Amino acid sequence: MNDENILEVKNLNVSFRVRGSEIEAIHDISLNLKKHETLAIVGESGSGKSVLTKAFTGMLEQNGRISHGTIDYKGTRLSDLRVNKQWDKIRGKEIATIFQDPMTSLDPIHTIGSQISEVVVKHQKKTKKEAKKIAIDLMEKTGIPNAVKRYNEYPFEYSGGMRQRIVIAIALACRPEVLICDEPTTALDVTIQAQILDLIKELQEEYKFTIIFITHDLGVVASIADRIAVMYSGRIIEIGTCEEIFYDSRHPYTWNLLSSLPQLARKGEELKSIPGTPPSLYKKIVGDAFAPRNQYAMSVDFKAEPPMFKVTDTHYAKTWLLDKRAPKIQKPEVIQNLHQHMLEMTAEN
Amino acid sequence: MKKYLFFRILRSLLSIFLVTTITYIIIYSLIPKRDVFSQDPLIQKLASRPDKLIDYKNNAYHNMNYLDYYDTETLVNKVQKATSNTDVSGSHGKKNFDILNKWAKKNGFKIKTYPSSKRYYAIRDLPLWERLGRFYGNLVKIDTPWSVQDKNNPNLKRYLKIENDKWVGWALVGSGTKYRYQIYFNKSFPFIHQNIIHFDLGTSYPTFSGTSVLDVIAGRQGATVSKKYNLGHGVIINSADNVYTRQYQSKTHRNAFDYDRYKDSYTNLDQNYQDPSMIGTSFRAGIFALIISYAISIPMAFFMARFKGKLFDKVGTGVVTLLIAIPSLAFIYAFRYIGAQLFGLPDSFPTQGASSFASWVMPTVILGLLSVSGLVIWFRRYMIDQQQSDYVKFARSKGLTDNEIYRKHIFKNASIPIVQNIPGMIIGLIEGATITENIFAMPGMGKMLPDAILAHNNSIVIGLVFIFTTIGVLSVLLGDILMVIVDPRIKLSTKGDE
Repeated sequence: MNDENILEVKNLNVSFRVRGSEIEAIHDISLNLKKHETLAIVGESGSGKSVLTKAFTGMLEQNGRISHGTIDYKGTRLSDLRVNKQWDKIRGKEIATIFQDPMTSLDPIHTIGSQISEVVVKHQKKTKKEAKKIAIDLMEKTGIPNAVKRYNEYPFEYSGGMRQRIVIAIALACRPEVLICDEPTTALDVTIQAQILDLIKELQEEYKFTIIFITHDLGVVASIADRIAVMYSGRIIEIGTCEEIFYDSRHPYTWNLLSSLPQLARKGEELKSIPGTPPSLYKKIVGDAFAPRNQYAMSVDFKAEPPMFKVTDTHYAKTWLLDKRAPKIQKPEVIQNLHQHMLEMTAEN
Repeated sequence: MKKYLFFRILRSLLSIFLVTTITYIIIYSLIPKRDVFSQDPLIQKLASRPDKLIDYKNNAYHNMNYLDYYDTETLVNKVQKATSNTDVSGSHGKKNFDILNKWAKKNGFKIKTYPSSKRYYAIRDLPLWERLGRFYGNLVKIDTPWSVQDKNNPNLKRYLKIENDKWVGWALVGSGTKYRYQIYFNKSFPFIHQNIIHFDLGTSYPTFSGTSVLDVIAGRQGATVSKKYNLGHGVIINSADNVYTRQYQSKTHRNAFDYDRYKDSYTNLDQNYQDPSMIGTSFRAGIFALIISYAISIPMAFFMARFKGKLFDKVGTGVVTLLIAIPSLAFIYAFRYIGAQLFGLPDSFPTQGASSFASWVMPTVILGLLSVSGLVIWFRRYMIDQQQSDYVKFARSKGLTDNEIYRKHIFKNASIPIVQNIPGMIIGLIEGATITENIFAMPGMGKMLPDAILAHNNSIVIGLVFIFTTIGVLSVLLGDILMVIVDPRIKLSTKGDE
């Protein structure tokens, strides 16, 4: 295991048993997570973003299992852990997750304070009194005004944004090495979203943890991620640094995603969307999973699964278009000058 | 919250009043009053003595507030007092009739003659509203030092003081009050007792004839038992008297022995009985049944949900389904048979009586088991609902173990809907478990209402309706208050009430 990497995933397959048939939700994913970086995983609903991170914390639904491949975390082979007892040492303390909906992530009948200090007592081995101090500290750090008083309040007395701050405070109380943020801003309105993203970034600088950020909002990704992995029907189809994905993407699916950014829409024109629907997982996928919706699809796309082609040392894409024999294709016009567009937009704002 | 509770209690009282009044009106206007005698054996016996029969019937009506009735003697007394005419008598004759009739017309009475002796008596039908007025007017009686007005005892002292009484220990003792001991303490539940406020729900007839309705329901039963009273200075008295119930008795009625013993005018008292009252019997059986049923079903449901889909859950579900499928009657008889044959427990309550622990075992266990299945199903369901919730997912992701999650989070959240039902269940027990009590011949509340209805015991029916409504309404209130305690999200408040 490379020292720089904190999490290494090799050829991971995750499958679920549904009504007697085996469904592959994650297919042959390899991924390295570097220390202190922020990796964003983007993709549409059902592309397997959440399932992938659930596999990292052993929280797959009962009918799910890792059918192939390995996950290594700092010398522990996570893919071999079976019982909850073994996972208890990883979850929270090493890898913590915050979820999409802050409204329901907190226990409604325990005070905010007790839910934070419960974790401090458990993971930092403090007494209850010390834990309370630490918890109030954390509440202040996450931007809760009047933390001493609000320590004894209940979740229903907090607004959505405040609750997400508490959820983050709880995750921080675990002192995790890796923080998985599973669409933490989706349920919040735009102004609060920005605040929460800033908060996560600030805290990352202070506590030096690694972030896996799941979202389907490319706008959010641009502001927070170091690297981006694009997922489609259980596969990572392109991975690279933020700049590489935005300005030099190679996979048609990524092009389509970027083209449908609402920020690129012009007045009087319809919003771009990707035609068709993602493939059903009940049927075995042959060739490139995106082929049926791909306007650049070649006949090979329907026959054989493309390998990961290397673009640069940090940039890989899974499309036959990168093969030497493939014809040269220009990416769509809208996103050709994405950098320029982005600059214009920020100037307008 | 205070404002809300105030209005809530006000509404509760109003609904109790309405239900009782409606029942009262229905019973006293739709059921012919002669029906009260349909089960009375005395009517047959008195058939040969028409005067006695009339007297008996009218006295009964009088006691049940159907009418006011004065027999000859009382009537003549009344008239003599009112008219200062000592000539008048109750025997047949025009002169007497004129005087009596004059008085009767003035007071709304009707003069009638007994069929054989031809003497006069007077009756006055009470209109419904007046009956209702009397019922509510007599409902609450508050004892004060001026309660007793006895012409034969003008020097009766009037006071309330706290003193160390030789019979009952420290107590609030009254003189001039109806009851001697206004507030006292003893070892029986609820340890502090009072005699200041008494409820009067009327007099029972024809069953438990002459006893007050409350005594029938809440008075102790069975044989009298004597108790040791240590009066200090080595004086120990063995007596069946229940000294806590000492009430004022005028000189003309009291007996010398009691006066000698108590040295004051409070010599009218009840006896100590060995068995709990009807309501007490039902409540006792019920409360233990409740404990048994919760003690079994809560852990059972907890572990079934904890290991959902595993062996324990499957076996548990099977047992619960079986319990539901068996008709309760069959279950009770089967269980009774097993208990009697294998463990030698009495299959009827009276064989060993209320004082024997063995008598209580089977009825309470059966009552408890009967409600296990419902509780298990619901509590397991609530727990499983909680398992799916987001906060449980988050609790797991923050590193809590399964045990911690179940103990601290799921269990507490799942018990909220259960907690609200507890007062209701306890109150339900007071109302009795008709079938079980019948099968074991327990002297409880279970059969009381149907029995009273069949016997046309109107007073008891209304008394029970009043009691059941009251505790029903209160239990809902209590359940809501309990809910507020366990669930911080719920506040009892009216709009705009802070």
